[in-house]
Amino acid sequence: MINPVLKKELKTRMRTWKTPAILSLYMGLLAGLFLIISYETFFSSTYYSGFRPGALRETYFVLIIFQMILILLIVPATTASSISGERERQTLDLLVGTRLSSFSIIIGKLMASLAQIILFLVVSIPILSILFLFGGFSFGDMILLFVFYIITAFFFGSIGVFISAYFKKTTTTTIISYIITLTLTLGTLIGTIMWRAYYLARIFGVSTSVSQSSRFYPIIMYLNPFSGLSSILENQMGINIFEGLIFRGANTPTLLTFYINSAVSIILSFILLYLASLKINPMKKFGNRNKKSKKIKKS
Amino acid sequence: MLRLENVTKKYGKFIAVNNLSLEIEEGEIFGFVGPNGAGKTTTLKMIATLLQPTSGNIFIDNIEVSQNVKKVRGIMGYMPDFFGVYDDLKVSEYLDFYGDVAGLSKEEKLQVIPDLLELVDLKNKKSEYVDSLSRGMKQRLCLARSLIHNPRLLILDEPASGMDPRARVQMKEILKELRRMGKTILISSHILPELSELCTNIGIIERGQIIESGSVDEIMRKVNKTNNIRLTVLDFTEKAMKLLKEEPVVGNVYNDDKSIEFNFEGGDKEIVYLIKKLVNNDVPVLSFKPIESNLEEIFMKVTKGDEE
Repeated sequence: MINPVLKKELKTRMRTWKTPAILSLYMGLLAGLFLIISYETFFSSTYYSGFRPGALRETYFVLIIFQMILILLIVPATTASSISGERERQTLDLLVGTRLSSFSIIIGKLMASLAQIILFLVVSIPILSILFLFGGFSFGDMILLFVFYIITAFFFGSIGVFISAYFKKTTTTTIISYIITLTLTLGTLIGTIMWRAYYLARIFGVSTSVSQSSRFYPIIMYLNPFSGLSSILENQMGINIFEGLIFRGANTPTLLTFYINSAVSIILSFILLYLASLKINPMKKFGNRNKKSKKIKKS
Repeated sequence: MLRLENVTKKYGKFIAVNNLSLEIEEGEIFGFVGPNGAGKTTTLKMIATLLQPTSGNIFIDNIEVSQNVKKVRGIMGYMPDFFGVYDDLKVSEYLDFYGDVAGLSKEEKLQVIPDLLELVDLKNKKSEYVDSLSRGMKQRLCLARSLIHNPRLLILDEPASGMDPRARVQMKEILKELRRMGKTILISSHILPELSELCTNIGIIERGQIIESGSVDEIMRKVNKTNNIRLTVLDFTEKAMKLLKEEPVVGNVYNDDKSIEFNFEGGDKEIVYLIKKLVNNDVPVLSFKPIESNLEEIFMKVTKGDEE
């Protein structure tokens, strides 16, 4: 049976004007960017003013990163109110007091958000398909990217739900979710660059090569979804820029960072979801249940 | 059906519920009465598995609630004092959602939802958005929600609060119907006369403790150690008052035109003696009857009335 919370959320979300409006905006932004990039890359060369199929890679690259940015902007907004919104509406008690487990409630909320992201990905297929017309990228490449988008949405959605369970007001939860999103994307990157620059300058002097620095894997970058994304993109394009600079030096491109990034995201997501379910479960808070159980058994 | 054993709930140093014990038999309608902040809602939330007691045990159908929360939630339905509804759902969809949550099959929902809408008189509103309902209708819808899984025990926290008189009467009728259906109901309310009409037993709670409990009659007898009696005479009011004051079983005597009210500490024999004495002294007695206290008066007498 479909999760009741997911069923209800899908019904109510799809009914409002907001979903088609956001969907249209999402498609509009993607299509607009596609047109701008296409014009810039295909027709505005100084040396050649015609169509250049080789420029497709740039368009593909920009669109995929842009789509990731859009997902990272949408997911916190849709999940940050998931539990705090129920609390503000005074419907949370009615929900947690039912036979539905707290974990099912949390999962239902997250799945509703993921379903929305999947819908966004599906509607982006026609735009990305134009790139496939000219060749260079396989359908499998797109599926791998979509899987990573969903894993990223799952991770950032779990953060949103977790924050929503722990803080009371939706305004607070939204702000914190975006701060965490920024920290895990821009923050980890800036932190890594600063740490690396400082550390290497101190140990080896300022003229350190990339290969020397490759032994210092910045673990926090595995929390950054752009690590996994760059790993996929560079692997698809046969280049090694981001991966080489940040992770493994100038080796041949691999999907290893994508695998680690995905595994870290999935493991952390389940931990966050479990903690969120504990938080909303009135009978499991602070381990009281176990203490009481022992007491009753004794008596 | 429901048993609370020395239940205490503390918030830091503040004791919301203090060593409270209570037992409610199957089919009983128990009224929970108390001033604001007395601990009613906290107690009901603990029974409804929405709060954990700091100490003590709560048993529903002989199951300790923290031992098998899921099973207990299947036996019990809870309606809070303040609650929200999903405004973006229609009335039937709202119940359908809670039917799903309760694990009902499609067939069960098709059978139960129309019956519940009929019970709470919202059948003609089933296709309307919850948002469009009046407060009274939302209260009734919430009651229907709490009944969706056919619970044997109902926990109702101020179910008629904020309702207009008509809506209150409707709610009372629904509760009477539920009583006829054999549900065990624990109901808290400030509308005391309604409770006295509806409940088989009541408990008066103040500062987190039950200070009186039993049937309405029992509590009246406990509280009214002295009866108040109203005597109506055709004439000779002053003479009647003088004769009454002579008797040791008569306390304070008040005069209200031809009606005299006085405190009386005697039994039936003393009543007969008093009437005989008045008649023998040519006082034209029209009526002589005890004044019955209602639940509100008892509540005022028993509780100290200071809000926390």
